[in-house]
Amino acid sequence: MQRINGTMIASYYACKRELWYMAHQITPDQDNPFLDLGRLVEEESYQEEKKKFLIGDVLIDIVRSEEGKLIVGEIKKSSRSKRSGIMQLYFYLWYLKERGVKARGEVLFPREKRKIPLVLNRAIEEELKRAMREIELIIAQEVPPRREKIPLCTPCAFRDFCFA
Amino acid sequence: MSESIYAFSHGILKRKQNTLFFESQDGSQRYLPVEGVRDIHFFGEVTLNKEVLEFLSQKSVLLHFYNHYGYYVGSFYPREHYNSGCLILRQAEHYLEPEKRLVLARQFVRGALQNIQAVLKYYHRRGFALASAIGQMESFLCGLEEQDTPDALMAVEGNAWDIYYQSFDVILNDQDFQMEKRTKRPPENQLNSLISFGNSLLYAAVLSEIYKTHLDPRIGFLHATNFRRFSLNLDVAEIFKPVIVSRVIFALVNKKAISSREFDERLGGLYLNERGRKVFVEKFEEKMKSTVNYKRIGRKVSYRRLIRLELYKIEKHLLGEEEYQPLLAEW
Ligand code: SF4
Repeated sequence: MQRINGTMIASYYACKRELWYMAHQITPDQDNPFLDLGRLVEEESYQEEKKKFLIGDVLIDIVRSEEGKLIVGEIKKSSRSKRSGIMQLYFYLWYLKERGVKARGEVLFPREKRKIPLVLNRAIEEELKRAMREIELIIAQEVPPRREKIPLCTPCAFRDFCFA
Repeated sequence: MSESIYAFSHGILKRKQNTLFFESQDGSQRYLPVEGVRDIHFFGEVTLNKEVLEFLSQKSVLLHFYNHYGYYVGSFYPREHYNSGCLILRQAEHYLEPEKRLVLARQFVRGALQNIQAVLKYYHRRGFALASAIGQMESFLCGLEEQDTPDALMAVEGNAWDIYYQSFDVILNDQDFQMEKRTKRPPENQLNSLISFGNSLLYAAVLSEIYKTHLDPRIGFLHATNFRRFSLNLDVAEIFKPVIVSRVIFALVNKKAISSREFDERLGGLYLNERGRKVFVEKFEEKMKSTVNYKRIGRKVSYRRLIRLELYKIEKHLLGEEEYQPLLAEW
């Protein structure tokens, strides 16, 4: 069984089909222009912090401490993928908590000058556990979940693959 | 956007600082910005060392080599960068199970025949006498279900290509470019030589696209796998020969962009000379970059991209998601 990681959580909330592909190492088209933009944004910002803090995933963008409390931040290009970004960050908070580290989270939307603070609670933890169980079921399926046309398809790097 | 580079002269390929450098025998030098290079096609002799191969590997650049006569001889295919254990297993499974292999082999032949027919119909509508050839394609297509081995399918396809290539005499009606019959090694006339050259370019182009997917180019379904050679690109190229190679040839001959001056006689065959190859490659690249509307994706895509989309469809077939239907060029 594969270990569930942050990207898988994000994919689960964005598109379950993408989740299946990612889990089967079927990576998206590297020629996709949207992907380039993402890479660039990621490479250019907050390089220092990122190198110091890797939870098996590149999407953790900033870590800082405030009055002795750890804050894990994540930068998003736009709020299009808001829910998946939030759940991903909650997953990191849970992951840290399991390892005895208490932290708070912040999802940042620099372009929209917005910031969403996140604090882990019981209900969210239950939701995450439910999601993780379902993720295991989805990636154990023989074939990927059916394609549905959703708004996320437009900038998705799997688009040509899904619709060819 | 990445580009294909075609090197016609002899020379040395080097790594210089962080980019590629081609120094040709006649003294001209050229930097090739490595980030923008998809593949390099060598028609002349080339000298290169391990350092440059390592660099090309790291940058995911393929090299394709052609011999003195312009035939494709092989490629430097860097260790695959997209790897999915799951997909490789399914690809092998579809090769090993005769029924599954046959389904794909048949679809490649079907794709080729359908596109041959589409080209013939296009010229038929413009008044060329091609009704009988079209009819023969139809009966080949109807008989495909009955063929129950890849060899039998190959034989049908061979007959179809013969009829198709003979129709070139009707379509082109040019004294200098007569087909009569398909001859390969050596190509006995100019038209045969154009076809061989065009197919070589296409095999290499398909291979470069396969490199960008999770497919293993060594496992073909119509063309038997022998693990020393690439064969999946030969399978997929069948579908695109009528769509890309023939159309390039028709354009060159009809516009008189190529004439007997662009051919040399060697060892009993007629081959494109350097000038001829340059003219051909230019038209070929122009075709690969030109676009058509692709309804399901909702935008225009280039012919090169069409090849990639075809590969994606094959991946989905292997994953058991959606049965593979070959591209039908209806435009
Ligand atoms: S293109 Fe659409 S259906 Fe396919 S993976 Fe992306 S979001 Fe999911």
